[in-house]
Amino acid sequence: MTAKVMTVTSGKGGVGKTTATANIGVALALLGQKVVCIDSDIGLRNLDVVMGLENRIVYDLVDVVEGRARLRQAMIKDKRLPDLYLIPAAQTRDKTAISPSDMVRICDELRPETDWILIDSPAGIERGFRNAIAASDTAIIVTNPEVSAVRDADRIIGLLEAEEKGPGKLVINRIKPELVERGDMLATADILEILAVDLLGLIPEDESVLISTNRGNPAALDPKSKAGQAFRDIAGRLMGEPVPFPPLDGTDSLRKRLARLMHRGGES
Amino acid sequence: MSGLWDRLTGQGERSSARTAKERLIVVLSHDRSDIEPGILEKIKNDIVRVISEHVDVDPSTVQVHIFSEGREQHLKADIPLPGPSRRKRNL
Repeated sequence: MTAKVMTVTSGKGGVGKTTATANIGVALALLGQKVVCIDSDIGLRNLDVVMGLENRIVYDLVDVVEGRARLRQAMIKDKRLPDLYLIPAAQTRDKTAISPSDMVRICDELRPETDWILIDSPAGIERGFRNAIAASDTAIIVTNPEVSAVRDADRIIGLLEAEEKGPGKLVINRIKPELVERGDMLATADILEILAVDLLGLIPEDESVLISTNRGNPAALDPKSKAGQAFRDIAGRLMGEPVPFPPLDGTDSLRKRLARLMHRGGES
Repeated sequence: MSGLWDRLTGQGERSSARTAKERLIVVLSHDRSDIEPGILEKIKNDIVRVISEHVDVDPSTVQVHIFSEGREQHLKADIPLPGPSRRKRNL
């Protein structure tokens, strides 16, 4: 095994980086892959609660960096999937507790015995972001169909290219197809045209994500969750399968609008 | 009728997504090139000044803007030249 190291990043906060990391990790593990998720958001640890592993933490990333724990001791085994692990962030320290070279060293140690290493990046473009991308082979850029999130995604893509980590692949999260159809939400085609990057996944807005996060069971584990299916689709694409994209992008909308118009006409 | 067309195409006044896209394209052209809108205006004025030393141009018709090809940024200046009749008058 030689792991592929992917950083999940966005620039803007609150677009769903941590949710995406947990769910893509789960979805890859469901395909029998060995996955290690690393929370690099030092001081604002959250991947543990999203994965439902917060009660199992003994050691964290900073403990490994500072030599208080071996890497293996800080790897928390998932309670549902046998080949999924989490290395949690430290909660009480700041981003300066680790350096880019620490991340490279940790990932190099993990690489030979892992299929995928997913690094959850903090928001922003400073030290924490530099740490998160230092060891990565490629990046997953998470955005929402909103002006500010797309603008920040563009900035991140530029920085990734400057660091020769780019251009990365795009995941558009929290899409509301009915708003796209109405012309009140940026369509996937528009975002791809503006950012000029490859698409990896389209995640619909789905309340099952909130509910599953409340319970600490990522939505990718729920066969009925639409967002969960979208994350499983991403895992399939990462494995090289040609998984088609769902029609969340309004491409089908002219026909749908016509149909709705006829329907409305019929009512009046 | 235009209301029907707008409803069919999702364009028209109600399409805030279209406005969002147009605003993003402009803001990203400045973000990516690190050229603020005010600097673009200065570049335009400088171009007009240099060209005017040789050819008579109408500053109000000159356009300087940044456009994208994929992730590559280009600076484009469009400088309409005066027609022959006007050039003759200037001789």
